[in-house]
Amino acid sequence: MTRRKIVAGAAAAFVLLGLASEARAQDRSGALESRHRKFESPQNFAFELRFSPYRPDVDGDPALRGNRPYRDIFGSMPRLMISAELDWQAVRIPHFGTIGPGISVGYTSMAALAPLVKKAPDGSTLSGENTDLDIFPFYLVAVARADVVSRELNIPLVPYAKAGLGYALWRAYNDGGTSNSHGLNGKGHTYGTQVAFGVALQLNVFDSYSARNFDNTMGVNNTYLFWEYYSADLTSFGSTTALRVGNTSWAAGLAFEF
Amino acid sequence: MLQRTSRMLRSSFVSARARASVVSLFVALAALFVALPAAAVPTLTLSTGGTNPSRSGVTRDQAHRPNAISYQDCIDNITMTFTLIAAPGTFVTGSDTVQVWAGVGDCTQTTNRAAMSLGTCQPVSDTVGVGAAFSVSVTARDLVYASLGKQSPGNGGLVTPLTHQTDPSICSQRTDPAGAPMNVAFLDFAAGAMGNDAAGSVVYTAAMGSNLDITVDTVGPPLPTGPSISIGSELLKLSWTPVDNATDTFGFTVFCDPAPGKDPAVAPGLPDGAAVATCDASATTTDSAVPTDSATTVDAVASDAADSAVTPTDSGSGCSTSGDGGGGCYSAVIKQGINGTLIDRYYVCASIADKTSTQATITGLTNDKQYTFGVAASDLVGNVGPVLVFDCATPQAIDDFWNRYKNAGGGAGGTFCALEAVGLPVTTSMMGLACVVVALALVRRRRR
Repeated sequence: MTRRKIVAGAAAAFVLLGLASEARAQDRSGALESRHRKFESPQNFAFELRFSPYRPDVDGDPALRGNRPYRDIFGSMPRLMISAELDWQAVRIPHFGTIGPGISVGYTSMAALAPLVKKAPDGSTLSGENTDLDIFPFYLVAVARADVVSRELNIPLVPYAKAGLGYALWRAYNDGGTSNSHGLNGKGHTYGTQVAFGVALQLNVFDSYSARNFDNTMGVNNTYLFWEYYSADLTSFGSTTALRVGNTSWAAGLAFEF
Repeated sequence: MLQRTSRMLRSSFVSARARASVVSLFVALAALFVALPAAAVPTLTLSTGGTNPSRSGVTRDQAHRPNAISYQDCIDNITMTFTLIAAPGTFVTGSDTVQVWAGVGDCTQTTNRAAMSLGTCQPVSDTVGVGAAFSVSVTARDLVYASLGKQSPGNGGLVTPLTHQTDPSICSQRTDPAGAPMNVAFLDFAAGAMGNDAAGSVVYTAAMGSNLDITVDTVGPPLPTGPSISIGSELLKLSWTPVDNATDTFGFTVFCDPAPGKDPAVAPGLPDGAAVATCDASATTTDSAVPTDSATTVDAVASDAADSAVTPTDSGSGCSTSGDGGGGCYSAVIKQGINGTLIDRYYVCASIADKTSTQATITGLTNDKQYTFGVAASDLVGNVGPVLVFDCATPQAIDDFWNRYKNAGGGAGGTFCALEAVGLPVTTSMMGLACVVVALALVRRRRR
């Protein structure tokens, strides 16, 4: 009786083990194949090198009563913002893609010749001194990347979305250092929301051999060229004491999953 | 018999004494020859202890080419003292003397030290007695004179008394910015029968075991061109165009009048004692403050070409301004540098050690106060070339972005920025933060 129980238990364990093995085998090559495809190193992160035209919405502040100090000084030409984003692809959802947190650090700067308070003897109104505004935008967002399109439909496109909080440090200065007016230094911070939608073109399909080597040597699973539309609503949630350095624009760049 | 024997004995005794004396004399002479076999030419070396030559009376920066003679060295008439060591047994104390000769030619050649053959080497030191260790001094102006290639006063190299150059005008007689590498020779003149060398023997030169690099360079680099000036708040920006291929240029010196941050009460005037003719600061200002710069007085040079086009706007102050950017006012102190006259260091407000530099920002100025500027190229030894004179300019308050934002009613600002660490720009903090983030990601990845 006891022996029969032991044999039955062993058989049941063998069956369960076999089922588990089969499940793992299915996990590798079946329904969960998208997590680790053949010849792939583990994939947990994404890194983006981003470039974007940036024109802070300083003049949108209602406290300025229609005045446009930003446009008056720096004009309407957007400046280049360079930023980097690191995402942790914490969760992979079968038949969808990845989701996880991401952080970004960026930098943009604008400079122009400062006007003189009064005309120079030669009639010129501009000084030889620069007036500058530096902005360092950060954000912490949740990133969802639907790579099921490329993994299961073999279309090398990955749509994605981001949403979260934004924060920016900024500093206004001239050749003499940080600007000061009305007893206040021209530096501070502004926060708000950050949302973005975009699509990434997977470059692996253009040279799969190089892509595989890149993965084997550097651990980079996928390389993308991406474009996104984003809105950084940095107004400190409507505060009247915030310099509105947010921007709604597009960004493009290269992304790597590793 | 006894008397004859006595005379013979006396005679032989005297002869023996005489012979002994003669022999002793020869022995002594022989011993002298043996002891001083090379007394004709002492063997000299430069002492390696300490700085050699040592320089006294120097006021210029000696970071570069300390053994060169600059214009300032010449004005200061510095003294270069060489410490030499004579090898034992190669000289006679009280007999051998050394004199330094120098010139642009090869002063080891007797002909270059002879007047009759139009030699150009000159004695540049007094004669000094040779000892085991001894010093010989040379003054800057004597070296400058020797660099001019004038006819040698020597006669085949005989000991020639030195007439020291004392007139500071000698410092302005060179015209070549590259300078003149000097050939320096130490000559031994031995007296007496032994080792008598009336023509002087070269016992040491700069090429013998040392690298003295004694160059007379009293002329600054050529004049930069294209002056322009732009206005800022409490600052002015000067720009210019350096002369191409000016190999002598090491950097630039900016002169300001009035000199910001310096006590006007001690401002030096013109070298000849004339009044400092500077456009007065208060003449075009909007405030009524009485100028306190004692160095700044009214334009006193009415016949100057620059003044001829001037229409004074403030006869009360006497400041001459044309109203066209200040083109009519000038500083006589700075203007004297146009022809290369040395401007007192009091007026130096910036020194730029970059020969490719084309601009300078002069800060610490007072808004609505008029300043005059000059820029001159400078070389490694601090010689300043002719001064490029700028028009007068007046720093003014600017209406920068922040000022305009605040004036429009903007409410932001003043927040302490934690990322702007002391001594570090905020960009540095950003880079540091980014590196930390990437490092954390890599660490996490390796753990997996």
